[in-house]
Amino acid sequence: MQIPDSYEFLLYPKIVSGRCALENLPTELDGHNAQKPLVITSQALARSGRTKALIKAFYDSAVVIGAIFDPVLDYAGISQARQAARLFGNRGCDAIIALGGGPVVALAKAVNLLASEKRETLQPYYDGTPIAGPLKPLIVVPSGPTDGQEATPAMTVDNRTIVSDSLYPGVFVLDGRMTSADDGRDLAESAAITLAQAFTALTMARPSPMVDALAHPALALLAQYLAPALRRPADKTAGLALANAAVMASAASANTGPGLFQVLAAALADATGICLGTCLGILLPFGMAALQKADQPVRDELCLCLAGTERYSAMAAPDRPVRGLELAAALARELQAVLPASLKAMRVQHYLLEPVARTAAEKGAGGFTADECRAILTRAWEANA
Amino acid sequence: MKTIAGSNNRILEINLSHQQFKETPIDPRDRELFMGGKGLGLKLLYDRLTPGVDPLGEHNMIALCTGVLMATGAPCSGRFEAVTKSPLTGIMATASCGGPFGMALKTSGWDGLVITGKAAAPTYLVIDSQGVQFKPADAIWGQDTEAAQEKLLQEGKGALVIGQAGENLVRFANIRSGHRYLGRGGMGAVLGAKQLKGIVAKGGEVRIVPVHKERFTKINKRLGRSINQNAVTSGSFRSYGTNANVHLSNAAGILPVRNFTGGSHGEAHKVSGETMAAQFKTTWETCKPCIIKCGHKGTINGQMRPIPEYETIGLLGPNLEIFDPVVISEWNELCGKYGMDTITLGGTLAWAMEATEKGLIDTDLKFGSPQGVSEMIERIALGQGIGKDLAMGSRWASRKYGGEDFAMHVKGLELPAYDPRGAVGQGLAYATANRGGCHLSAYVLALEAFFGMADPYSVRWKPYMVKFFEDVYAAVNCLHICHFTAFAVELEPPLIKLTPNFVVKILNQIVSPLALNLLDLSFWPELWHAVLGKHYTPYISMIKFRKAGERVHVLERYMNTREGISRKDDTLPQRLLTEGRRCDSEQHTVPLAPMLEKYYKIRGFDADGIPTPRTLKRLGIPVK
Repeated sequence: MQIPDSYEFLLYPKIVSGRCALENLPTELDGHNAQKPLVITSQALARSGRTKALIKAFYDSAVVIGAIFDPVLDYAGISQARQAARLFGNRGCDAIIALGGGPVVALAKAVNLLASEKRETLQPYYDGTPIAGPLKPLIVVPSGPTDGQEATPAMTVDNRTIVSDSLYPGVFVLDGRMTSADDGRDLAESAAITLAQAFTALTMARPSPMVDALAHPALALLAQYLAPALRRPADKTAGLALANAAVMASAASANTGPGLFQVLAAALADATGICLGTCLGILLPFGMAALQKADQPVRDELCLCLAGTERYSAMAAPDRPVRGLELAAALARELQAVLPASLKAMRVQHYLLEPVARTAAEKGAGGFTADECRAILTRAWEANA
Repeated sequence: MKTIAGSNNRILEINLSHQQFKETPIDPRDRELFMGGKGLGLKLLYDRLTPGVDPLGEHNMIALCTGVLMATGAPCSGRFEAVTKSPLTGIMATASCGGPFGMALKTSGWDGLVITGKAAAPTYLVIDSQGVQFKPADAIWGQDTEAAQEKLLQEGKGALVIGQAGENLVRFANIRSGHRYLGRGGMGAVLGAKQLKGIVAKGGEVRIVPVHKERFTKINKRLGRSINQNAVTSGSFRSYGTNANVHLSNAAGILPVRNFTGGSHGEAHKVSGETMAAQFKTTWETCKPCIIKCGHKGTINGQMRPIPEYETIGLLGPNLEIFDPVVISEWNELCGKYGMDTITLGGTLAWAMEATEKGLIDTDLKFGSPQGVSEMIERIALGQGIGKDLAMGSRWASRKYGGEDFAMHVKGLELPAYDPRGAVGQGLAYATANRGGCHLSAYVLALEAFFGMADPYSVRWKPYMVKFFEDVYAAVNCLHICHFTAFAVELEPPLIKLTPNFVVKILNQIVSPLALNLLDLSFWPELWHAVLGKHYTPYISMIKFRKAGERVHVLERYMNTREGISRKDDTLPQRLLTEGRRCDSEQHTVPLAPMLEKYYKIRGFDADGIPTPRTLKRLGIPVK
């Protein structure tokens, strides 16, 4: 192994994973000297009994839940953030537990910022004002679809993103009771985001050992558990494995930035209103094919984590990059058992492809030009790899 | 003058790119299945429009269709329909208008127009019985709707015209005809993108007469009598216009206040129809022919001006916390001149006020203050500064600046002035309406909140009611006759008139399908049959009439699904699903999910909200 000349990596958050990980919540709060958390979640999770399971985890502890704020749907906005921040203050809370997926965690980060810095608006932060001090402890209990930003220093509220190291959650509690999916579609969307993040992190031009350390197991877990999880979304073991992969990929991605897939899918999601995971699920095979055609160097490590040590060792060295890409593309195609196979099947209007390609190219898109982005989108529209 | 019995049965197809036109006969089967107006317009585009085209591109089309009642003298029949792909929502948009263009088009010998292509330079069209003349519009390009219309009317009896908003591709620009508008969905921008400033129809070239004159006259008289007896059509609407609804909505807690956070307001009486009638000494200014006379004008600041309708009052008034009728009337007139939909404008301004309050955008707009609103309307119409972003509607603006949770739209179309948290059936109707947030798809709230004929908070049978009224109103838009005749047609027959409202409410709660099926809707199909000279069979013809409405509704839905619409889009703004109104101590929200599930089943849609092949086959819609 070669150590690069230089690299940077911020290692966050703490991960507590296991079948009974929830029962560690009181200890984790105690470790942050907190006794009265505000729980932010959604009504859908309350209905599914998961909020109740979380409350039960505190039965034998001195921790008192200050309040439960559960009207979060699939959008994080300043209105709800303010409401929850007021609740946080009025109930004298001293920590936040986010139980849910992307929007819940984004909202929890915003609430934390407003409550800790005693502000009513996020405008100063959008304008570049740095976050002054350490924020209140934030514990994330992932449940439901991810948006890939949970374990990053970013939060997107009202469609605008603030990035600060202070926004990293302190602890991720991954519990099989919470991470198993309710339906295959949510699971596939989350897996698409994880795959895109881990793939981009592992195939980046300037690798770092720390990124590899997270991206490698994330991909390996996906390779092993995606198929069983798609077959049986309620499978707790597979769900927990994919949740681990999601946190690892997300943390790795936080240190590498977005690549072609994420930028293209984000532009498509913005233009169409289709969720990011679905866009990624459709685009990944076509994007990977484009990478293959573009003859961009792909590292052997991709093959190593997707094929496993034995098959990797048995392969001729020059074949490994191509085989790695093929395996990644096969993994992406597995998602299409649940997600639509093309943008046309998703009924994306053809005239939108041009502006999406332009926007993606303007935002970087892994160095791909607008024409190349358009070509990928066109193939994804026609389902012609 | 040539006399035609029944209908012209021909369409004029115009290609602006090549300055060509052709006459196309209406397929008798299409006439039978899709009737006319909205149904015919949709079918014409279904056969011609490729899914996925750019609404502002050359290949988008706009159909303008009259119904068979137009020019026959049937009461309230001076309406025509426009159908296109909306630049605001990206899906099919339909709009109805009572301006003089429809009559002029029909009496020029055409039942409709289909316009495609894009003119090389600003153009207007002059339609007569022989076809169309393409004329340069440089002299009127840049003029407001009033000035441009005045010029065009020198060449015919009815005109359609866009203002600066349409020219500047404001996504909610409308099209004006007389004092009426094809209001919703940004049809003005579609014409603007085609560089088509206006269309004028010469009119007066043919005379339309019903095939069964005596029968027609008899039904006509009966319907006229019913309209003149009904408390809404001959009472409140005739005296105060649609603004009569301000008091009703306020009392029922469904008046939008402060971007749909309120529900009622102590100052609402200041903008009610009753107050405005007294303050401005209003008189009628209606569509022709009309005996309801809901359109009013009055003396405001010494000038005779149109009185804003209820939706305008609701969205530009209480929804912005403005209760000054003079100011609202001025904004209404400004919108009329620029050619902009007041509902979407009001919804977008309310979003902008709340976004400003929450620090998402920087404007002078403030709830409760008229300051800066006129200037913002001008900036939106002319595409200046942040006005250019607001000209894209609240969905687009909220995606750019944030605040999607309080952008009050469905499928990109801003909600009208009824808060569905006080009439949950209307919530379902908003969520499933084909063109987006629309109260005209199914006006269930009248039963729920105004007449006390259905429990406003119960979900029981609401999916059935919504489907029933969607079908009926779609058929009405095919005839084409004013929706307000529904008050007379549905509520005047003795069976329902003599039954106390609370009994109807109980019946609706227990056996709604039976109660609705007992509604006598026979006036409408009887008129249709008399005009076309077809044999009318009591009850059977009424069922067929409703089925035609169902066909048209499902066709529109199917066309929308080809543009990407599915269950994910059949939803309501987050505020309506999670927050209660300030006026409501019980903090009701709209329980949409269970109603939607049932609605799809009743409609024959799959779980994703797509019409099943079986449903399409049953309704005679060819699958593409």
